Amino acid sequence: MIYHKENIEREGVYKAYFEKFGKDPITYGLYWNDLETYESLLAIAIKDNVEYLEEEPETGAVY
Amino acid sequence: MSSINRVSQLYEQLEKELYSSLLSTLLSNEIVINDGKIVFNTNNTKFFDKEIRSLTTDVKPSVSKIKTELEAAIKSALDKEVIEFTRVDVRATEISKPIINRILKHSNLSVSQGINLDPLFTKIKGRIVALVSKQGGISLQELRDSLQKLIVNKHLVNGYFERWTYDIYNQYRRAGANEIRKKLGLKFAIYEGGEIETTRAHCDKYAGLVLSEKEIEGWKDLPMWNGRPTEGYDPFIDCGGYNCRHRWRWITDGLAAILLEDQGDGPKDLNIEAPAITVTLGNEQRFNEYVNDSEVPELVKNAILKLPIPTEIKSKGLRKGSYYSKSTNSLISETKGGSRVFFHEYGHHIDMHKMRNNSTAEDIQGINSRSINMKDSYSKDLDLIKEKYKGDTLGLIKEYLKTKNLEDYRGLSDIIDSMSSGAFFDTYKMAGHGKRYYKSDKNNKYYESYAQIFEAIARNNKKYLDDIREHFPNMLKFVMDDLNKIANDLP
Repeated sequence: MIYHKENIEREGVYKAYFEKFGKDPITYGLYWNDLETYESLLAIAIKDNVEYLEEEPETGAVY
Repeated sequence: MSSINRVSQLYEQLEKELYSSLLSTLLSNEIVINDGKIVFNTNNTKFFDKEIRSLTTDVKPSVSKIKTELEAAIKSALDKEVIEFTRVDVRATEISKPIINRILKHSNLSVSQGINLDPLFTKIKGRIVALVSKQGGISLQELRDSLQKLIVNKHLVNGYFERWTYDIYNQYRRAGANEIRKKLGLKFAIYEGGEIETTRAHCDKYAGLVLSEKEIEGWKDLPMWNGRPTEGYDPFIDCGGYNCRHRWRWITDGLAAILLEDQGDGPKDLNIEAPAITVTLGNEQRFNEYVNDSEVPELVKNAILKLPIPTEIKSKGLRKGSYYSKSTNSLISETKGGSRVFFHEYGHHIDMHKMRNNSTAEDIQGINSRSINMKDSYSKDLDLIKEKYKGDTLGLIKEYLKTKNLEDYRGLSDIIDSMSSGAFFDTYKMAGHGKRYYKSDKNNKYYESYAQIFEAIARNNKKYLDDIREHFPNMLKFVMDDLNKIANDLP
């Protein structure tokens, strides 16, 4: 495994989300190929004050 | 022992027979001997003329045996070629039958015409005349010793026929192979035969390399080299020229792709000559367009054609996003992701198909040799990454990726994400599946890496593929090998 820093400062929508909900969004990799959509969904979650919700992949499915 | 070596042995036997026949001749009382010396006179000259002519009859059975053995050697070599071709294409057995018959007809005629001992008899007679013409003649013992040296010790027959035999054997073998490969549509060959002390510089340059049909054809236009026939040179049949030990081993486009990659050429090169293949995947036209794009290597198209396609290929599934479900064999690829995401999901389909079908133990990855090889390749590439980006590895790779078109490099980013167990996405906010995904199944890192590398091969973006090769050479080789095995029905 590649070891890494854990204390990277959050930026942008990620920082706003953490400040709003006190935790990072829970994701299972659904938007690995589409960060723009993911970030826009986080922005909506912040605006609506509803935590971002992503369903877990079904058994046997890979993204 | 191969038949061609047996021919050499028969030549040596023939030398002994010739010498033995001549010894019997020398015991004849028809030879005029003066003071213990054979001298040059009309009587002796006529005698040797007659006796040497009769040698043809004496050794006729041996010559006939040599012809049979050489014909058998050529047939055996052609049969071996057919066996090799069968490993590449099962049609080879049927296709080759008329070709082999035609080649053998030609070769048998050439062998019959080629084994002509007259020049050797002339040489023997010339030597005898020269010896007896010496001042005072020559003793019987001296004549015997001299003939033994000429015929047996210096291998008169073998020396004379060796190159001809070797060339006729190899040329007919290569001619047969060339005809068969044309029928099978094979356009790439490995120049086989290794390198020895006497290997020509030309052969040395190409030994072990893969060449295309056009490149081989191009040898005719190269500047002349030592040993190349001055007239009628055919590189498919003559290879490096006289006495050349090399041959063309014809291979599939798929195997050529892997070997060319090692030679420094990518799969893109295969598009030059490969026949056009059309793949039909389903009702949604965009998927057919992606896979039939001219940039997609034939290797990928062939592999896709060889495997059953997913039960459904759609833009929208019951759940959100793009995914491949191995339980329902469904491929869902959202329109927004285009060909990049489609090939990624198709990579999952191929990987999962191989897992389901390769062995009973495949369902839980980690047991069979295929998955062990993938894990090993992954591990080696992980070591390379850590070595390449020492220190703040993820920070350095993030900086590297910022210099690229990030949309094109999401696959590379995701492999790095898998290698950091999702930290590259979660912490560094780079494209990837994230910690929860990689934690949910310890094999997800292998599945995603396979799919991302398949996507890079299939899209065939030269720059991106070069970067994938630079960062993950072992996994790229693994996936290429996998595709080649699929495309060529190899286990």
